[in-house]
Amino acid sequence: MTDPLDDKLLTTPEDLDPFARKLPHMDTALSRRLVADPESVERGLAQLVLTVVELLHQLMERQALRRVDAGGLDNETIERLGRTLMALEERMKELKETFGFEDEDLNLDLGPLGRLL
Amino acid sequence: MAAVRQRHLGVIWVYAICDRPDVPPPASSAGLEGAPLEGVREGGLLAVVSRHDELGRISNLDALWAHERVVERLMAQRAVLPMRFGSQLTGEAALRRALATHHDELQSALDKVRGMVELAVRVMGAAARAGSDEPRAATTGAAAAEGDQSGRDYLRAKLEHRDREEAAGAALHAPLAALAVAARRRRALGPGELLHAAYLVQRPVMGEFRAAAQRLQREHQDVAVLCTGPWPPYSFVDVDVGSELGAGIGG
Repeated sequence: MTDPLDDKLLTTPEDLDPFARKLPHMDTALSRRLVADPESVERGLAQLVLTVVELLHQLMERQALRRVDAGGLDNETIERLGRTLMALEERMKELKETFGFEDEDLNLDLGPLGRLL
Repeated sequence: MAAVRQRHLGVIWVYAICDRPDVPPPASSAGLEGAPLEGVREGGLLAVVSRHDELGRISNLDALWAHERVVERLMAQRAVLPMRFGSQLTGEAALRRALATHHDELQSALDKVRGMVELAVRVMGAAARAGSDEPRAATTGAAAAEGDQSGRDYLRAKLEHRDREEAAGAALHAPLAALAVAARRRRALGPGELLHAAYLVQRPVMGEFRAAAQRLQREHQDVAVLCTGPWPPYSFVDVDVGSELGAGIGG
């Protein structure tokens, strides 16, 4: 059977990979469950916690950029904001490596708000 | 089919709400799990549904396409408000109530999408194709070795990156929006995505829109332009017909 999506492609780039990369996650996104067997529960929990931390990280970063945009922050505050976010990013990177997660594993579908990452 | 009808069939899956209530849904197409399509008429509206004993949480791509095909068959005949995939109600009374309550809103929504299709465009920046060029904390660079990347520089790099992406997205969006009756930009689906938007386009303008998308691709060789459609106007149905029965909000 041909993929019904083929009929829907009006303009396609030579390289569809960057778009297709999301597709394998479609089924998981639609039917994502927290699997609670003992082997996977620890990893599942770590994934959940890191996803939440990543959500906070993204929100903080957006908020920080908005505040810098708006002006009125003194140099010291800007420096501190930047350093905090930088440290958080580094720490997240380490944790992701420790648990073997890719960015996409910590993604979250926020419905009408789009996806987190 | 007779065997199915022996049971109560209390769950109603809603595909779309359309005009021309006197015209029944095409008999040749089937709905989810091959169930026959039915029309539920209320005033000037027709809800196209199929009945099921129990559906639970339907979540697979085949079902998604089955839903989509039903909506598209309807679109070939008339104005259609596609319902969000997963719209189900218990009992016909609830459906009739929703239709009656929002009758006028739904009709004017139908007027807005009559003769229109939705085209979706996503554009990925060069960065997303080669991995991200989003500024990262300089953990490997010389700055990190000396531990002297300032928080200020880090924030500035992030800001510049965001502004560049926003400007690129706006420049890609403008010529497409000019061809559309309405347009909705959405938050990027992932890093490096410059544009993620839906355009409500008159059917005869589709060819021109497609050409415009192709032109964008030619003019911006460093990005990847994906245009899909024609889709039912999922992104342009704003009537909230109840918590269970969602019009194509979001996505």
